[in-house]
Amino acid sequence: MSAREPQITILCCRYCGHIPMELAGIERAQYPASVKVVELPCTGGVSVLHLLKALEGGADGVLVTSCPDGNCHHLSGNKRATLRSLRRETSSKRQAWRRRGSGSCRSESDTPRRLPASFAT
Amino acid sequence: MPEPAALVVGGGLAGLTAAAWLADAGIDVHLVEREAVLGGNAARLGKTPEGRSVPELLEDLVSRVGGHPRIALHLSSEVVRLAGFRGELSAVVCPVGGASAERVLRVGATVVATGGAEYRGRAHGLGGLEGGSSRVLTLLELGQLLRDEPEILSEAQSVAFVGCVGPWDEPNSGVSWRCSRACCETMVRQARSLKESHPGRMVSVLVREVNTYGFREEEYTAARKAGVLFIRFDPAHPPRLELDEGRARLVVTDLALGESLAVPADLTVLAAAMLPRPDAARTAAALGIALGEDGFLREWEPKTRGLASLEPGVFVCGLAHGPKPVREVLTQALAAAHGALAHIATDRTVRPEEVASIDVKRCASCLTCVRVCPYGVPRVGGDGFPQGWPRSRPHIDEVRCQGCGTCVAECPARAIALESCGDEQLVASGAVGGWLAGTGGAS
Repeated sequence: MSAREPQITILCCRYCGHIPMELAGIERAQYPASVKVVELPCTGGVSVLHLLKALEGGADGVLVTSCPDGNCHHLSGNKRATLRSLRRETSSKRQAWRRRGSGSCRSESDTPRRLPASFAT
Repeated sequence: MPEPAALVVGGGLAGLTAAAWLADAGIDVHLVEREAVLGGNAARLGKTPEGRSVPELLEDLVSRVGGHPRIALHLSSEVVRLAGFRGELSAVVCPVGGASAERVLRVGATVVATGGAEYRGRAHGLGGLEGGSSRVLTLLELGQLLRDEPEILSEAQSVAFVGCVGPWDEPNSGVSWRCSRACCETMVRQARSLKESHPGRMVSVLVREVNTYGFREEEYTAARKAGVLFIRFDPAHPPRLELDEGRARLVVTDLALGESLAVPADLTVLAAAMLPRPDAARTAAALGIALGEDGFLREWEPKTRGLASLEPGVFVCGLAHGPKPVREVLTQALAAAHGALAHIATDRTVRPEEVASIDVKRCASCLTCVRVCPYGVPRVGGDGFPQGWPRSRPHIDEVRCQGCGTCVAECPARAIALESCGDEQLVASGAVGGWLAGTGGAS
């Protein structure tokens, strides 16, 4: 096996997170098979447990994609998700999760190309 | 069936329109107005930019509402509490300042039309130079003068309008600029009429930008053709009012020229922003509905559940909901009244597909869910709890829950579950984390 592809788990919301993934599919945009997508009603519902379980299960990174600021379908779930993943990032350093990362990004329902781009970073 | 009666809070243009329509539709209406007279902000308006006379419109509405057998007027009164839900609301109404004479009204739906307020602060000293040869008015005050005693204005040799005057102009206010949507078209129209009535008069309009919505753009063109001067300034350097040998002038840096100009202003007219009423928070708390980040009453979701508040059966409209021109106030009032009627006429409630529920045995009453819920659904104590639910534990009303799962993720005791995507579905089934075992990717 050559260079191992990083295993990425995406936790996305049903609205601005998942819709661009569907659009990316329609546009035949390519992304690695090692990326797994889990859809939630809102990223406000992404708990620290989900982030840690994904990493425990072997993911190299977790990406939380949510609606743009001020545009969350559930009013403020995106802000809460960002706060929570930041909190996890700081606690993860203590727990020696150092080599693996997590991040969050904002997507919009009409920007499918932004998603593959965010894997690259 | 919900109670076949509606409560309308606010007797301005929006409230009167909604009340008259609901009563015509056969619903008993309680109209509660804080002032002793009906009319609200609209009593200060003259003509709309479309040329419609607001005083005539108001007179017609007041006579319709005043004489309607289905409308009970509660003047000089306010709603101090609105409780209950799902079409079984009870409103406590009492006279302003006298809590002794409380009345309890049972209604099936509520239309909230409590209105907005004009900005009255002293932004960049523009209001501070009254007297002398200068007069400073707001757009609303100018409208009243044009309506009631236009001859006073004939003395002004020069008139300068300043657009978008609001709390954002005050130093260190921390408030960001918001368009009030109706002032530009009124300002441009009034500027043109002041210029056309006295062509020798200098009329200038100082703006950060002009937003004459839709076909009102033609008003802008017409004003320019009539000879009104438009001067754009940098919002970071708003115009200053100065006195030069007794004559007032506005000193402003023209954005196009990059140079400082002194604009003569015998009369300065401020397009003051439309803001939430200073007591909007108290109103919202009394009615049990939420305020948005801008301080106006929040609607559920502007695109799909517009004008519905987060409380079932409570609808918002008019300036209480956000700044807007008269024509939109009228349309919104009808929309809110339709919403209220539909709510009253519906005898069943559809429970959303996904709702969060609290496991009382695991709940430690830490009230994290009460704090984090973006919709304010989890509540402790109060009415409408299922039989036997402990008073000390929060309860999530399954009709109002939006199923976002925020409380599920935040609950430290993991006592809350969201039906379709709880830990069972996401973690135990391996959706998050577990799937790697079969792919070989993790080895």
